[in-house]
Amino acid sequence: MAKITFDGIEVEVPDGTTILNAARKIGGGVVPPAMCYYTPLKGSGGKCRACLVRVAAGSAKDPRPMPKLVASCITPVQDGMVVENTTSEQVLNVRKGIVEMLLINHPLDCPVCDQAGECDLQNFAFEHGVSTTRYEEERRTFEKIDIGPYVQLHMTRCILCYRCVYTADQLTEARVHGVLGRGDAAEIGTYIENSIDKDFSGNVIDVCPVGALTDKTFRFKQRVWFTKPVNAHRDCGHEKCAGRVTLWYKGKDVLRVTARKDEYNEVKEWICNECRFEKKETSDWVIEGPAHIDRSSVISANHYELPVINPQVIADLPESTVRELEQNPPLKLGGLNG
Amino acid sequence: MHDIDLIVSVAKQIEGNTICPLGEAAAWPVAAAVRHFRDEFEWHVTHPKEATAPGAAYRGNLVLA
Repeated sequence: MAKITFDGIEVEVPDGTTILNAARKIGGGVVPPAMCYYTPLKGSGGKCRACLVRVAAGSAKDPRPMPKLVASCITPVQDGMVVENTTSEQVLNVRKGIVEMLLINHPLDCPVCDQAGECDLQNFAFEHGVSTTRYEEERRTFEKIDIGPYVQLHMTRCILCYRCVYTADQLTEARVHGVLGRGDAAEIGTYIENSIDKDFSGNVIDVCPVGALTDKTFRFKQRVWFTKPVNAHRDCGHEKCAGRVTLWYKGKDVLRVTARKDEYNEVKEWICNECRFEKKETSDWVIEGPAHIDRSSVISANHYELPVINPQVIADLPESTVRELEQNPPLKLGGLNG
Repeated sequence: MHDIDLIVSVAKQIEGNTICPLGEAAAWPVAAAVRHFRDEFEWHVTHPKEATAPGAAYRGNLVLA
């Protein structure tokens, strides 16, 4: 076990845990944002730089600070580590720069994007970015590509997080897409017009943090905040498929089916293509009840649930720290600062 | 003129934060050029006619004054 201090809050985690997961154990507003890291996918993380934190003391044995900011999603904790996230002015300023860099080639077409309202990049820019851009040059643009009967690729919106590549590698029987080119020319593609139609390939839609990979059966049907999420399950014959999903209703119609996501917008149980694309009747499912709406969904607009610190962690804190946290919450939502 | 500040600010955003050191390698020469030759950059902005004339060369503030 290793004991680390994250933003003044002490937490004990098993050896080999990453800083990001230690912060998620604390929970609440101190958790760094993550655009490319995805817990169930091996090898993800380290690319988007959204989760950079300052390590003020490397470990109990060697308490020197680390010279550069480190990506918290791939850096393992060490005993006695002191990490600064929201308490460090430097980290907050760097994050504004990261938002600006991610948005350089991202089109601001949220009004026509199917992902709007549940987009990781939208949330990240809203919570950590600045409200203006200094970019004046031409953005890179691509044609929309239909890859297979279910998925459409809109490369212009892609932020090259590699999540869909890892998903296809680790979940489906064969990967037919990948990242072609380097630097400014890098793009997700299938090289020769190929179709992504392997079973479980629909999960690339769920893992995509932006609207680059979208569900063709849901395309332009409805804005997500006008639909009602309902948890449901069915007895899916596939051994890898959990069969536990969220149905998105508009009136009586099931407009789309997605896997269930946790508070960090991560899928814990994958679902197969049959559940996702073929079963769009209420009679196919056993309804469990309304899905919980957390703060990452725009459906909860105007009654946002602010992130709360894990009660177990609060119990171990000295009272002065708790009072300090209540008076100065680490994250204020809707703060388009600067 | 504010473009000079912009280029320094972007270079500062890149250095130290990239996954690959090649990113810093792109940012450092630009930042260093501005740091050492800032008055020459500014001369090009404030005196466009002289700067684009054939054979023009910046001779420092003292000569111009």
